[in-house]
Amino acid sequence: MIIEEQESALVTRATQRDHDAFSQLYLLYFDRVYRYVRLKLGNPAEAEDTTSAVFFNAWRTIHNFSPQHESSFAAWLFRLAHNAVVDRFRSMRDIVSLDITDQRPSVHTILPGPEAQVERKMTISELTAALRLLTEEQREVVLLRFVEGLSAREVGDIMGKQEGAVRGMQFRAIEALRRAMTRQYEADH
Amino acid sequence: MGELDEGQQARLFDALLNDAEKWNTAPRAQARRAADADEAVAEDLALIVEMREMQLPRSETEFARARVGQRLADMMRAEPGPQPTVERAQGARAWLRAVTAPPHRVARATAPQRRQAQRNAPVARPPMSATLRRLSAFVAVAMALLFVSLAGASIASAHALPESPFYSVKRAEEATLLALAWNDDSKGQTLAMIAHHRITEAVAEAEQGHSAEAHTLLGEFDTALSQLIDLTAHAQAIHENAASLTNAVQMTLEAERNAAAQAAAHGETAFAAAANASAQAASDHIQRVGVDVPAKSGQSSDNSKGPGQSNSSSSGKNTGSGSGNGNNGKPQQTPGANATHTPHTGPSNGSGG
Repeated sequence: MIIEEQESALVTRATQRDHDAFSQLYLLYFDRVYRYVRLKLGNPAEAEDTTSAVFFNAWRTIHNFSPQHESSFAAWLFRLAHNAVVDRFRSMRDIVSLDITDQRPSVHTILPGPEAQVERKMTISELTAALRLLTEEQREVVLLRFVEGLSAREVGDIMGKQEGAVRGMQFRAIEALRRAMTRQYEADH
Repeated sequence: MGELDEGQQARLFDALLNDAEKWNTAPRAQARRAADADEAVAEDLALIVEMREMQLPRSETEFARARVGQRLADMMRAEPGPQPTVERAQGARAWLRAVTAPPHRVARATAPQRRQAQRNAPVARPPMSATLRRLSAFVAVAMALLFVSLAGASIASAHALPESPFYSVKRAEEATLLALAWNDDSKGQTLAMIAHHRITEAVAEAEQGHSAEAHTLLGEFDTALSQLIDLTAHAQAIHENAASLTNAVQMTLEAERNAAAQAAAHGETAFAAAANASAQAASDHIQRVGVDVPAKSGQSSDNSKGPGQSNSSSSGKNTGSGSGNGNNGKPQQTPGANATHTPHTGPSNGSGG
């Protein structure tokens, strides 16, 4: 694919410290990385700080990126994002827990029935609230595999698991999310 | 409905998802009709589609992109160690040709290749009923939409006009690239790119009869070109080699003259005259700050003026803010660049980044 070839060329140039190529990669990936971090942390300011750290870390370490040893550049970048979020949680655990209790909105998007599902779109805050009811691993699988569209192998690389393990987890994760949203909806109505 | 146990549901879900990643094309309505295969799995898949269609508020993402880009640029500049050493593979002329390629040329080059790639892609599908295949196609479409939207937004925005929903993306990307510009050369190339975007948009708007928008965009072109000229003068004063910048100035100036000729050929005489006056003002600016621009190989003819007019100096000063300054959406209505366009002749205030 043309786009993949362009990305590959950009990555190659960026590994040679080509600032312009890295800027293009930043534009290509910012929205996805920011969305992932934003959904994990829930707070735009925190998400900006963490996303800055992700891309700066990527710039500092991109010379270590090897296409032969990584499933994709996206997987490599999202692993940096995953690690940055984990670090953020560790350093700001108290703030995050306050954030959860203060900002958890009601979830009432996914109604029981396909007709109802088309009536309104899910919002970020609703998804964020439902994600908080999942285990950490389930949350990670939902965000990387389903929201960001990474392959099971790429998600496995990021989470340090085998591809088969991710495939085994993904159904339980999406089921847990759907049940959480349905439960929240029923509680609100 | 719901007759499968959890293990069977998991295998069905995995098969559909795996299959969906290998082939696509099916409308959402077909998938809804196929939802009776297994209610729970169908709802799970619908939930995935909905999550993938979900976007953060555009304003939040764009502001975050610009702010993080600025912060990242600051961190990278402050980073100890060697500066980037990679030389540009392309000269300014080739680069400008690439970024100003007409949109249809890009479409012709990529769409058939994508279709060919899809035709050649191996299709490994487990035995499934037609109903299940339609359901998996439902997910496939969502996945395809995700990737196309992510990768395609940037491409689609490259030639967007102010009326386009992609225009704010284009402006935000320009602002980010300018903020991330590492050195004078990189900043100059970005300013040249921004100037070319503006002049292309201005001509398109003029041809559509949108005179006010065309003149506003021309004013923004002037601002970007003026910043490029000042940057080049600065680089020549302190650097040993500013060849790519001077080439960029020359090409950008040529682009404005070509735009004037194109507008004149389409009967847009007012815009052509404004563009010619603006080009002349830029030439004066170049001489005033002492930029040594190489001789032009084939300057376009000036179709909207008589020979005696082309060398006349214009007065007036565009004090508008710089291009690529992060304003999302419509082009800025710069003072001095209203419907009656006043070309920029004075020095600008630097990079505008």
